[in-house]
Amino acid sequence: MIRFARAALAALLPLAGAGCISISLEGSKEGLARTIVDVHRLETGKTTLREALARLGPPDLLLRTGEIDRLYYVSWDSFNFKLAISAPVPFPGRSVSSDAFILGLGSEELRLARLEFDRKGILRDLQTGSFGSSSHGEYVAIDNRVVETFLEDRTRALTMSDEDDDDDDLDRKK
Amino acid sequence: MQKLIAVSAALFLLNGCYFSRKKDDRPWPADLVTKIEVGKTTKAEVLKLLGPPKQIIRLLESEAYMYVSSIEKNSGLVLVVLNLSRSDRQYDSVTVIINRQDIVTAVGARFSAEDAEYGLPWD
Repeated sequence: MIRFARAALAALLPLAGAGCISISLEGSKEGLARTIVDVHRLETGKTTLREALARLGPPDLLLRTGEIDRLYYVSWDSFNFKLAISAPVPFPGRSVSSDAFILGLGSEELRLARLEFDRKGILRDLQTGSFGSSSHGEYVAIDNRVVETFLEDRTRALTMSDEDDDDDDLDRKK
Repeated sequence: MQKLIAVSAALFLLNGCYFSRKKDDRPWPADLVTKIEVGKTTKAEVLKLLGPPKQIIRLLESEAYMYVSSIEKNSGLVLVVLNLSRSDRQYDSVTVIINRQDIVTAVGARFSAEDAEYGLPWD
């Protein structure tokens, strides 16, 4: 009987910790890395926008910036580990808990290719790279300006349609 | 030993798993894109074939019509205190570049949404 009780208690132990301890392993993937490998077949000063699209397919991000058209091909791969220990807080009528300890570790890999085309549609600049990030979200790379520019361009692209509409209004007024 | 078996049995019985598939936008048949010919097809024909684009981007000498649909596959395993999850999102997308004369000057297409996979976090 005692043996049975011990076994039952052991079986219930994980349940006791269920609300207080959580360990999570999370992985995510987006986009295809193989497209970025094909970028090396392009030649600056020669390849046209038409050839680039035919060879690499559609870009993940496309925008006009100054006197160039910029295309990005991007793929992400991330893996995160999180250990959280929380303690219940006695609060009448409500279920409240407070995180006592959180350990988060993670890695993220961003593969990125940036292509810049001039007004004639000729490839003028090509940059590729694979960038790893720390668990704090700061990119560790030899030259992380490419990543920074990408993040800025992505933000710009999201708001670009509104800006363009405003430009139209100005043109009409002129 | 009995304790170990009991804990293992509890973990086995008290677990849960999930699979989800999220589709964003309607996919279009790949053969539709082959009907778009550079230097021939007009903007009106593109719109007739593929419908309204998700995004129109104004470029230096042209406009880019972006068509995107995606499939995201999520899978997870919950073992009382241990949660394993993974997501994979892949895209079907078509970009059509149209010049100021409303003629297609470039096309790029990729159909890889179905390549999204279920799996473990470290896959």
